[in-house]
Amino acid sequence: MRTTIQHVLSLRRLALPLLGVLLLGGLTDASADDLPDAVRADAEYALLDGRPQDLDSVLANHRRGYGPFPWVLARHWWRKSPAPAVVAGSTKAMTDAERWAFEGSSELPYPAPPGGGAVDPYPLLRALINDRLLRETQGSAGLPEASPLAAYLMATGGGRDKDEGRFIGFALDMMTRSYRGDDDAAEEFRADAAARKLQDQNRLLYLTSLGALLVLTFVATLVVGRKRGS
Amino acid sequence: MERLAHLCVAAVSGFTILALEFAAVRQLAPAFGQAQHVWANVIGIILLALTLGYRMGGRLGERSSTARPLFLAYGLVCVWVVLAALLGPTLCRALIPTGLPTEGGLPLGFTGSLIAAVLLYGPPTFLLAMTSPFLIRLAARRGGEGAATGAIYAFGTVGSLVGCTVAPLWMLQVLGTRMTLFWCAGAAALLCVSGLIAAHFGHAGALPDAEVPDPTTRGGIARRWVVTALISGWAVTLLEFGAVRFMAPWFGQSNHVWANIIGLILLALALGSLLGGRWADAALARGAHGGRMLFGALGAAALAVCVAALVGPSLLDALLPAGVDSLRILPVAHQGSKASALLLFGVPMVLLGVAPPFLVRMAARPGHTGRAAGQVFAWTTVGGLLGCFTTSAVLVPWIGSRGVLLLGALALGGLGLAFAPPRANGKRVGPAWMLAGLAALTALGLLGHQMVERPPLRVHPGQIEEVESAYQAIRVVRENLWMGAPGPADQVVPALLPAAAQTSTIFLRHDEDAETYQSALIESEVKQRAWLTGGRYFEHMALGAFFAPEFSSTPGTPPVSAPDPKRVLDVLILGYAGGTVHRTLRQTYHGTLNVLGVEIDPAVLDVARKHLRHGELTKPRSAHPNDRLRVVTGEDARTVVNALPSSELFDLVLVDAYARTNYVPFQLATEEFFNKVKAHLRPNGWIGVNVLGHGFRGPVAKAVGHTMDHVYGRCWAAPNPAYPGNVIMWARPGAKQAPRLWSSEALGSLGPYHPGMQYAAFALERYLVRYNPATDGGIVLTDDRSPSDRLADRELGL
Repeated sequence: MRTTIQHVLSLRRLALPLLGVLLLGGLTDASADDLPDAVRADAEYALLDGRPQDLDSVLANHRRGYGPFPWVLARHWWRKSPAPAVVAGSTKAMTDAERWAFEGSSELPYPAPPGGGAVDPYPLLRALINDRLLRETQGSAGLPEASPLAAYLMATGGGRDKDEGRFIGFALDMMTRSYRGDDDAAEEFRADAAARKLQDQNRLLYLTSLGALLVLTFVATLVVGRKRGS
Repeated sequence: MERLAHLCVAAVSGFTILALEFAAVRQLAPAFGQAQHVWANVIGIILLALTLGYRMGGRLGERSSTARPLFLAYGLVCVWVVLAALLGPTLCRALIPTGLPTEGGLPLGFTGSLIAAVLLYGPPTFLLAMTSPFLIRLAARRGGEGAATGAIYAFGTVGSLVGCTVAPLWMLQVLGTRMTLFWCAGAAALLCVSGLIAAHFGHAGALPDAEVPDPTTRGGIARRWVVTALISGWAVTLLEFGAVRFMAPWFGQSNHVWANIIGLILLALALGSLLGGRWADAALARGAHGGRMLFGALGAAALAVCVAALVGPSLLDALLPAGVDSLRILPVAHQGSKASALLLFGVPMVLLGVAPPFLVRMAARPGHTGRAAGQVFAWTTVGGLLGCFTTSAVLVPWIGSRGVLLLGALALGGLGLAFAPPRANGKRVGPAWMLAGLAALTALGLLGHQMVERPPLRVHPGQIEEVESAYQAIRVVRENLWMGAPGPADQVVPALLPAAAQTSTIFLRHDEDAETYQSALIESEVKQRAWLTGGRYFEHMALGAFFAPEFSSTPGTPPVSAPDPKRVLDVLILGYAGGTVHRTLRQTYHGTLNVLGVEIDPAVLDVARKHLRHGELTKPRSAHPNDRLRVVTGEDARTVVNALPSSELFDLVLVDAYARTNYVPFQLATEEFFNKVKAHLRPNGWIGVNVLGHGFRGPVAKAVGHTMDHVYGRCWAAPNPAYPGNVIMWARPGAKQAPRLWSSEALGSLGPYHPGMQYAAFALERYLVRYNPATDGGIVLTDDRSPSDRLADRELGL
């Protein structure tokens, strides 16, 4: 069976334009932080892997005020925390992305980039956020192909590294498994040769025994009826 | 032509009675549930009305010189059923009990369902039951009473067969309860109008006068025929119900399996009635003693039942061997149940069907055939009534379904021993007596073995115990599973899962179930603490305890407090089973829990006490001395929700109730039910419904999602990618946002998240999806019209 990742990657010819849209169009003032690239990637993976609680250790040496953005996102949008939006002593201005995360709503779109030419430092987070927004507000129509994660996978040519690609690919396969389910159970049953053979065997047995019972009763009725005149 | 018309009347009447019976249970369920006592009340009242109707039909047939009273009675039936359809729901709502059941008191809804069944369905059933004896009386005036009785009985039975198949599988599912009742009223109106027209033109109204009542006799039948009718009626019911339960560990108890088994048994009885009618006429015409033939037939039937009880499991193993996926089993079980019903019970049921026409023919005094028919039918029905009350509720849990079959055989054999007439030369020991004796002796021996040894019907690998309860066969199975990860999630989120381990897990399964389960327990306490249930849906349901309210942290918005560890979390678990969800909550939620659980089958809780350490759950945790657990058993969850005091509010309502293995009980997934729950949810309270099947796209999940979206405004589905059969549908009144978990930091002393919950949290955040009515389809399920069983059948391959 062809997996979703294979399907998505077969559309690589679209990768370049999409990469352009994702990266150039994905400019955001979340880039206002000054984290090293490796830390940003670790922070993204923590959310990708379902370990938002690990952000504390990932960002331990980089916490200032209420940022950086992955930390705000994990506490106020991805999960919830009643911690105040503005931490005393913070001198840092709140970015659009941080303001959006503090708002905590899934009705509002993840903010469009203000422009300015910088590269989005969190392309994977953008894909994760938009994927979640899409699922939670619009539903499963078109997923997983329509998922921003699929677009991300295409744009990055199968992920920024092998593990990331594999992980996102599995995630997309899981979406297929979870949302499409077995739409046609009867079709699936027909494909199960052993079960079908059993069903045929039982049907034959049923029809044979029904015929036998009818014939026997009919014959018995004739026999007892004929005795009437004797 | 006239005779054919009579046979059609018998068939339509039989159909209408059965359709009414199913519609009655369906109409009462939203108010009183579908617990054993509600079924017993409905069936009991209907059988009682049938008994009285048969008696009245026999008497009326003798007194009346025209069939017009019968046709007028159908007119009354029509009016009554229309009133029942229109006013029934209002009456039921007025009779809904309030407050939770008290110890030693009557079950909830017992009185209400009894009153409703009497008022709504007693009179029309009584009137319809007059048909058969009345028609037999008509036929008897032309002679050939035996054949006529057999034919009318057979056609009535065929009508019942159609009713018991078409009503639950199609009419109630597709048309809804009210429309089904209108169809019943229409059938009665058709009989009334066509009968009166025929009578007006002189085709069906005037009674022939070939049979003249003997004024010197009272028309009552001899006591031995009363006993024979009573016992044979009881035995037929034992065998019908016993047969379904006997085969349940292989084929389950789906609507189709019930309809197949009961339908084919009714067909065999109808064939037997046709045979018996002719046989009785022929035998008595040549001066033979009908009793020898009757009791010989009953003895042979008893012997055949003994053989079925003995060889049944081997045959059933051959028709449905172990290893067929539970979710693909239904088409195989559908055909298998038909084949095995005929192979095991076809011959004995044909032989039992011989009894009524023989009894009428032999018991009738000159000129009193109608009255005799009425009495035979009435006593047979009284036997059926006793069978209904005793089989599922008392006998199956006591002696098992195999024991029930053997008890039926013993009763039939005993009848022969007691009443088989002596041979012509006066010697007692004739072939009929010997046959009956052999059957009784065999049944007694096998029954003794059954009661002492209690061998399980079906043995699965690792099976510890099999318990046959009033509702199902519960199987306790131990499996040694390699818990590297739950399914393919291993490849996705290894970091979220505790270290791989071999774990011995105990599952509670029921009936045909071979892979799924209603409760699970990892035996090792250490591993259990690490794994919880290993990523199964219980963790996903328990996650609801950690949902945060909707709020904004933007500067200037009102501050929100963190979850308060001192606050008591009120949880309602509908479908408590062995308490696995409750155990998971206790292991993961570090605050006080006040849990109200509802479990319809008390035996499940007994088994959980014995095998799943349920005793631990009844005591407060040491850190939370105010933990509280109340479990209501023997009640339908809908009845309990209906009866909850308005002051009883919950933070979390979890619906995990299943009937007959794979079916969401219809009354627990309707607009009205969700509205009832809404009234008992706190402002930030969530309801989660576990839907088992084929994923989010399955028709049942779609219908439940659509209904929840309709009631609550929005609904989200949380699939479990590791076990994609289960989807949890989540909703909160007025929610604008999908459920969001508290961050670990916000949980404070309530957290951090248990390692075993990490996977559930990951699945919620990565795969939760909104049910969107515009793109996902589905229908709104209501108390009146809920085709949820039909959708489940479609999902499962039928």
